[in-house]
Amino acid sequence: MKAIVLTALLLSGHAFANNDALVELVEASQGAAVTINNQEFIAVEANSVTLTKGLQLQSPSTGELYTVTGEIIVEHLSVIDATTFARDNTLTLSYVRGNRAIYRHADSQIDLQVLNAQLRALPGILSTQIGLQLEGLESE
Amino acid sequence: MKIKITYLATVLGIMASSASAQQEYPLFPGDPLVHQQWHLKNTGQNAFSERGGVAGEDLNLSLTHALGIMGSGVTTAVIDGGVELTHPDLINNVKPGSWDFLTNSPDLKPANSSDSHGTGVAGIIAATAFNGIGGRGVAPRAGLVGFNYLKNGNMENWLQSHGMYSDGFNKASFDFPRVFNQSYGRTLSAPQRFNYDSTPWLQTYEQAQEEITTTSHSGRGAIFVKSAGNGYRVQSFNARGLGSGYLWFANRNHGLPMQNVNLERIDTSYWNLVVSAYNADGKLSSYSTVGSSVFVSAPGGEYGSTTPAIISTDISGCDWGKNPANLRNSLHGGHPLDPHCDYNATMNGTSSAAPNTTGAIALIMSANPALTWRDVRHILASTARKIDAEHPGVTLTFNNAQGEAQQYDAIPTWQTNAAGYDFHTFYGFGAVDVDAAVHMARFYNADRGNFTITPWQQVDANVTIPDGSVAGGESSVQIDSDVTVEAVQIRVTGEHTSTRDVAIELISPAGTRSILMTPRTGTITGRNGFDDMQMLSHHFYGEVAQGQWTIRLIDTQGEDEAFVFDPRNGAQDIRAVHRNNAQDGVLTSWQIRFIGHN
Repeated sequence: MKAIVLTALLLSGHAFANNDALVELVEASQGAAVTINNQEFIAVEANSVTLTKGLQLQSPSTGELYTVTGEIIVEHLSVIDATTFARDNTLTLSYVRGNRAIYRHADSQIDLQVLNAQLRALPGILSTQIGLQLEGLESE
Repeated sequence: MKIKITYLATVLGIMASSASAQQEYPLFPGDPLVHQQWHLKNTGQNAFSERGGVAGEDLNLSLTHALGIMGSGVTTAVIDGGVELTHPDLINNVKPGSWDFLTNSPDLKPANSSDSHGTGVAGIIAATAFNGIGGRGVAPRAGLVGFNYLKNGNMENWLQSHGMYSDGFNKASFDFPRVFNQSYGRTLSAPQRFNYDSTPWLQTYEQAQEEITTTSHSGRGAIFVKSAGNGYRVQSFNARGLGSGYLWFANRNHGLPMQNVNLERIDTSYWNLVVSAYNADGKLSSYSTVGSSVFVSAPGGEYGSTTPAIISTDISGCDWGKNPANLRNSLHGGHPLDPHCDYNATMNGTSSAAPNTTGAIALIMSANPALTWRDVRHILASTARKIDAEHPGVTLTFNNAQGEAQQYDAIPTWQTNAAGYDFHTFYGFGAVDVDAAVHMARFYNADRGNFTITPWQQVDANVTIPDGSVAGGESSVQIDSDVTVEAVQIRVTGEHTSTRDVAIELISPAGTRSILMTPRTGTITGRNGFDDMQMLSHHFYGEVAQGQWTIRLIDTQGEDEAFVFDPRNGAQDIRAVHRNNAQDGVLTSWQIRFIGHN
């Protein structure tokens, strides 16, 4: 997979008046490919495709950086009790409001792709998503 | 003092039918810094910088305060970094409900000596009045709760801080906010995809904000205020291997903004009311991000050295907050008006414009608590002041591939749409005018009709976007809906190998032309075209949706351009080049939907 990086390509015969070297943005091979929600990411500085909490991902098309939060966000039928659901699946319930709940697994090294697929396949589950925190958020 | 103020407020209240929102009234004394707070009342004071601004370029709230309307009964939320809730100028307005996501407790406080931003934001909204210390908030009797989401971001904390409290919270124990202030954001170097399937977190965000906006407070709802960003001249940029830094173009980007609000996806959500910043001269703040999704503009100031910034609360003590780091300003370091260094005079950014608007909304809601979220938006749009009225716009001159000079009206002057609303890419409907808005609020009786959001209408275009040509490529669609427009959203998909070059405009059946994407943005990594890129415009407010809508994409580039990457770690600047592309682009398809009423 490729990511966009700045690299020190010296540009010869360039039209700009200044004689200093100029660099250009190019794409370079970086990290392993990961697909989440049919969207491709690159695992930053990691050659493993195991999706674990804390892993940093970059979108190869837009350059956006994400961090895997360890959360699985689940929407379930209202008849499902989130506390019971967490206990039955050895998860920690960290948030619930109506039929939306957020779960975490005690093992921070667990493969969240696998866990997400397992939860999505359970009866009564309407949707699941792997928690991603978009990086670069700043006070303005 | 209280007796005198109450007496005067009563007199003014009796006179309210004849008291003019256009007339100047004095701000009551009682806070030593208030007469330097130009954003409340601009008299040309220098606000501890080298020179002052232009009298009258302010929020125009003196009559509202004189009437005793100061935000009572309205709680505001500061979604930010830490907030010093025990600050002497904030503590009396603090309500139950704050949360510290670092310590997982309600004892919210700054995480360290530099975590001062949230305290400054809170003070702009609701620093206490008439207590003999510091300055004054826009809504000095509004309630405050805070959330340090920026210090520990994840989905759970986003939901908690944006009003979607977990069922585990005791909802009876705190004041639910009517206004949420979000003075945060990002700068983008490529167009982003707005698609619920590939980015489901956007759906979670929007569903949450829609629910809080439309159903809280027994249906009167709440408003999410959002800063537009600080990316006009310089943008943050993260380069793999080089770290983070700042990026700008050597040619000052032709006077055009590096960042457009429509690059930031959450700013294209209808549920965020986006605010740009103006300075004490009544011009756009030099840094403020702009675009068609800006709703209104509010004071943000400049940097507080040459020209005024905003005076607000700072973390207490001379060793904390902005005081030790920002001695460029004469207020800092133990000034007689601030002997304990609890205030600063260098707060700025759209981070300041947003809380100025949040405070203004609190005043409007306080003046008439029955108003719904839609009423408040309509009042703001209807009463905003046409600031910087003679602004000439920005015309971009460039050479096409044949070396011929071309001109493009990239940022028009103030325009009046077919429904009579003035709009500018910099300022939205204009500067927030509190006295005019509160006057309208107090006597409000408009029927806003039935709120509606139309389904997305897909248009297959397959239109060529000629390289470096003002001719552009365009596509039209006939709309049958009889909706009266409040906002329009567009999603664009197309091929282009240099999205920085591309301007995108939308033209209504009435002929109103809105620039959805200004050309020459800092999307230097945008080599992969557009994929469901969403943009929002308020420019068509009040117009009729029915008729032909046309989208045009114009490629404005014909040559290489030099830019600079300035690493934050202090390393030497890197001079770089953005390569021109020589290929035509393609507008593959687009979608349009209308938010409004019928």
